[in-house]
Amino acid sequence: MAEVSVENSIEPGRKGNAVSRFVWTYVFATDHKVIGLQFLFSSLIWFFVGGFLALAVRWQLAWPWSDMPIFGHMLFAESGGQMSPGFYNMLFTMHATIMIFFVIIPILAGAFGNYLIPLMVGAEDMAFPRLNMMSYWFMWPAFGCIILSFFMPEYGASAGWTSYPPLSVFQGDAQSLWLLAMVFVGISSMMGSINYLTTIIQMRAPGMTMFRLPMTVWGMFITAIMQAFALPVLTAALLMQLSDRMLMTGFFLPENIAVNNGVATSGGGQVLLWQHLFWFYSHPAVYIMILPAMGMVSDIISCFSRKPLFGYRPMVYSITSIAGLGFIVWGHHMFISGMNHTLAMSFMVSTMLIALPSGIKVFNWIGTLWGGKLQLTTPMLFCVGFVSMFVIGGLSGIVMSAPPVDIVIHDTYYIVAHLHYVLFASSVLGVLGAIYFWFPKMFGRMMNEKLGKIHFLLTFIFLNGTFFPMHFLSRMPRRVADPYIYEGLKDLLPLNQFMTICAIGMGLTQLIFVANFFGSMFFGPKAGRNPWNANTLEWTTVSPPPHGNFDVQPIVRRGPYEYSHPETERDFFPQTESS
Amino acid sequence: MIETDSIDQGSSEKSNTKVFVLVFLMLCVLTGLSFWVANSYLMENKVVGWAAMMLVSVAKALLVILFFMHLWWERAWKYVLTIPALFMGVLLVLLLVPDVGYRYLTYSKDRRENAPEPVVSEPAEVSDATPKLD
Amino acid sequence: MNSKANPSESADIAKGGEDKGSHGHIELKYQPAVPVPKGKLAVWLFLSTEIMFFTALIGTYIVLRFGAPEGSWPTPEDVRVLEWLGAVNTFVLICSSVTIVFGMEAAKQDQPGRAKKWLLATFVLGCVFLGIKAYEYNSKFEHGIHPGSPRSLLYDRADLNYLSAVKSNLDAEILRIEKKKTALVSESGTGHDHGGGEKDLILIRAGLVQWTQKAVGETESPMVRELALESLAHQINPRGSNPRVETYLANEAADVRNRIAELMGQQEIVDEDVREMQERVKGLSAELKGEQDATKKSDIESRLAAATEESKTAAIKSTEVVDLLTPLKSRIAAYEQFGEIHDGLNEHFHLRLPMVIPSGNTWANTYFLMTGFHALHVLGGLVAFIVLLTFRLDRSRAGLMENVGLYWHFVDIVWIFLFPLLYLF
Repeated sequence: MAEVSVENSIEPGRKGNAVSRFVWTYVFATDHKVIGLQFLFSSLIWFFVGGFLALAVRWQLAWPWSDMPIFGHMLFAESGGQMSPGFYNMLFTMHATIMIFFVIIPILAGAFGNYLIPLMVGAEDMAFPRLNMMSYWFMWPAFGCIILSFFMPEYGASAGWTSYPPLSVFQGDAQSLWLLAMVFVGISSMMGSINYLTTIIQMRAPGMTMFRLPMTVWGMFITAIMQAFALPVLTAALLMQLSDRMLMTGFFLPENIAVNNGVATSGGGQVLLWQHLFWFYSHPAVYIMILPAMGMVSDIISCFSRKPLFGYRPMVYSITSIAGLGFIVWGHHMFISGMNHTLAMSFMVSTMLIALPSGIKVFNWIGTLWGGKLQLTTPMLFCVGFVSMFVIGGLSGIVMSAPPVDIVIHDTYYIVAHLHYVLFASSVLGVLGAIYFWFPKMFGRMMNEKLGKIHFLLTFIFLNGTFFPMHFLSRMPRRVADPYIYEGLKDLLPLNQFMTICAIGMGLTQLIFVANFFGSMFFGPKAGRNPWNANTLEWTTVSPPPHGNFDVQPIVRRGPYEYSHPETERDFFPQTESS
Repeated sequence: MIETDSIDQGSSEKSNTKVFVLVFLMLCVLTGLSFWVANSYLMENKVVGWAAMMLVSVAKALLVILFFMHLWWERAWKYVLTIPALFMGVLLVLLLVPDVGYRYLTYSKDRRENAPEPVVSEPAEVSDATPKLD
Repeated sequence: MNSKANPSESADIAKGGEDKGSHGHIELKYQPAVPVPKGKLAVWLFLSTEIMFFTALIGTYIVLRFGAPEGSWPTPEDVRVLEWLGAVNTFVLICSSVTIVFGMEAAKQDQPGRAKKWLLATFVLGCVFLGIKAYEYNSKFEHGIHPGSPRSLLYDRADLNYLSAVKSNLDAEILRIEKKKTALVSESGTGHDHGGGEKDLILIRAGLVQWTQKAVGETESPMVRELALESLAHQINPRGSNPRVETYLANEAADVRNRIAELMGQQEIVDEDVREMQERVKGLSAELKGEQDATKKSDIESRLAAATEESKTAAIKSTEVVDLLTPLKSRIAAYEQFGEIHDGLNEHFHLRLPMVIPSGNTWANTYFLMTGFHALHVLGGLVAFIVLLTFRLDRSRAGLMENVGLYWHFVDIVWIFLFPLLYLF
């Protein structure tokens, strides 16, 4: 078995012509770094697709029923370029689906998890390289299903990313494709999380105790646990909805529900069952989408403050308790569903409790920044942006955890503001910061600082321009193609136009990032092993790291945040360095 | 030294085999027990019967997990995995009960009229022309 | 040096098989947190995710089942569940768990031949399990118990929706038989069909379905309407004895017999009238032929016209009575012909008419969901066995055997819970 190891055949520099070498190295790769980059690139591509969908949503909200530029005439030639209300439903559904399942989760867990975990714990690769490859390749059927669903008569699933039955059960075939895609994403994530957990538990370098792990790895570790426990429930629910659609079973359908003048006799289920099962995964998913970013931000902030991370252990405990609490708060998404009141109250209490560990984290980041020798590099700017935006997103979250408040603002733009402050203004800023931070390690070249700072500044301004005014729109319902048919909402049009302009600006700003990314990949200044003078293990090896990651056996002697340590003249103290 | 080792090994093998056979027999007996419970007077009070059968199942599952899956011989890490999984599973089911398990109690009139027909235990009088559900 | 047989030591054995050794770069050392091989840890992690998967499925079943309207869950007889067959399947899986444990022990002791035999036994037992499962599924499909409505024949209530389903189903069946008969007659000259004979079907249609339709349409009492529908459902597919329906049917039969007797009396009188009128018409027309006198003739003519008119009214009256009688008669015929059938028309004539089994669909949904996904997991295990069987199962494979075994035991545990939940509760 050892002689016919598949890894060998994939190693760069194998015999064979250039094409087959390329295919084996970059397509059927088992190296965690290549797989990480595969996740990174596919997520970034989907990021732009999802962004376009968001811009189309904004277009409709700013200039309702006007001709869409370019795409209008391609898709809606007969109506002269206006989108249909159904198309609008598709837009927000697919925007959320793509951003959550194809962008944020894969880029955090898939790209950074894959790339960083083995490097940071001092392993040559993931525990199961081939499983890792499978985990990436199971994303492709999902991509295929979603792409195919765009070509269905309704241009894609349009029951909302939450896919509440009974509506979702009676949608067109695109919904089935959506469900299938989610099942594949689930399988991919499950494989990934098992791999991460095994790697972190079993493959840490000598001396790398659990409490010497960088926060990034802690974030990934907790995230992987959450995925492992929460995802199967979603998979089960997806399969049940699929069978409700394909076999006309009635897990989520009430009795004798009448559809298209016919009666679906096989009832007896409960729509709330879907909501419970769905949110049992999808609320933890909210933390899956932010905990790794929190970990990476902690690392970056500590590095550029040239100070140890303030309260390492409390940070670890708060991540863990966020994860634990995250499992028992899902019901706060369902306050207006007519759920049991006592249950709602217990969900309210647990939701409010989450503010506690989140507050600890914010406090610790500020404590880290306080009195540090701040280096305002691009990644640092993004991370400071992350912290400030997370405060806004977190606070608005506490507001709506109370059912009486939530009943009023549910499904309004206040919620949209909240979730975008958490997912875009926090997670995505964190991801961008992480890309700027680890780009030198990934490609061996530095990204352009000036362009990076412009990118940050514009993104920061435009995202606040786009999302902050949404806080004032707590009377504007979301998921409505034309809210201005209501007399009382007509005055919101100018504000929405302002937000749309900001959103377009934000979209255009990302082109700077694209230019910087690809430009630096080929023409950036060469980065050494440790351009940021950081402590963690990945910086002790070459950039980009070779197959097998390390040229010397890493022996870990201290925690990851020993910046400005009194025992050494330099202001950093790598984890492996003997004192 | 080596010899005693191999003797130790041999005896532990043998006892393992014995344990497995014993567990197997217990599993068979327990299966029979749950079958007996299902057809016995215990089912007169359904809750008692169900609880008894679930207890038997838990006992069987424990036997399989502890001996066939060797958890009996594993170190403390087994708790790290099994207890959270158990907790999450029970939690999920319990929190489904108020909304889905008790859904019949909060059925709307419309839905109640279409709900599966409950079995009426005593024969109603045919001449009684009052509507049954209200 | 022999390594000990206790599982934590087998870690090293399995590791030897798993680690690929260095390939062009230095071999790194690690400090594992738990004393088990990576593969085994991963299998345990995988099983935790599987626990959550089956928790979702079983939890769905539990809340749907115990939240179903009080006392509406189908009994095992209703849905053709054989408890003993479930027990046999439990036994089969327990045996397979033991065989794979012995297989692993044999592999650990470096006895590949014995290990392979045990593994083969496990594989066979897994196949037996699936075979029994397939038989069970088939016996449910045969009785129209499917997950989902396009094929499922289960209805939650005997209501108008159910009645129309029975009617359209029956009409379709009769049409099918007629078509087949003409096809057969044109082909071979003999018209033979299996299942319910056409005569029976037509009687069911006239005496049960159309009768119920009429009864439901005519009565004002919701109670009677409910009973009429319920009795139809009871005759198609009885679920134990239903004294309510049986009383109703007996009362109705007595009522129908009285009505028939009454109508027969009426019919005789009416027929007498008809005959009388016809004779009068005959006599008058004969008189008319023989008569020459014009005035007398016109008188006879007017009398003849009146008599004809009267005879026509009598004839209409007679057909009216016959119209009233026909459904009553077919009802009685159906009553007499089907009254003795205690296993239901569906069973007796091998028909596939819609059946009323309250919560039957929810039962079928959850039953097929859980057993289906369990069976898929069994199938996955069998595939893993086939792959394992191609290896030489010596000590280096003991870790691999153990991992597959862990998965197989998990599948067994799921069934340990499914068996009482689905068969015995």
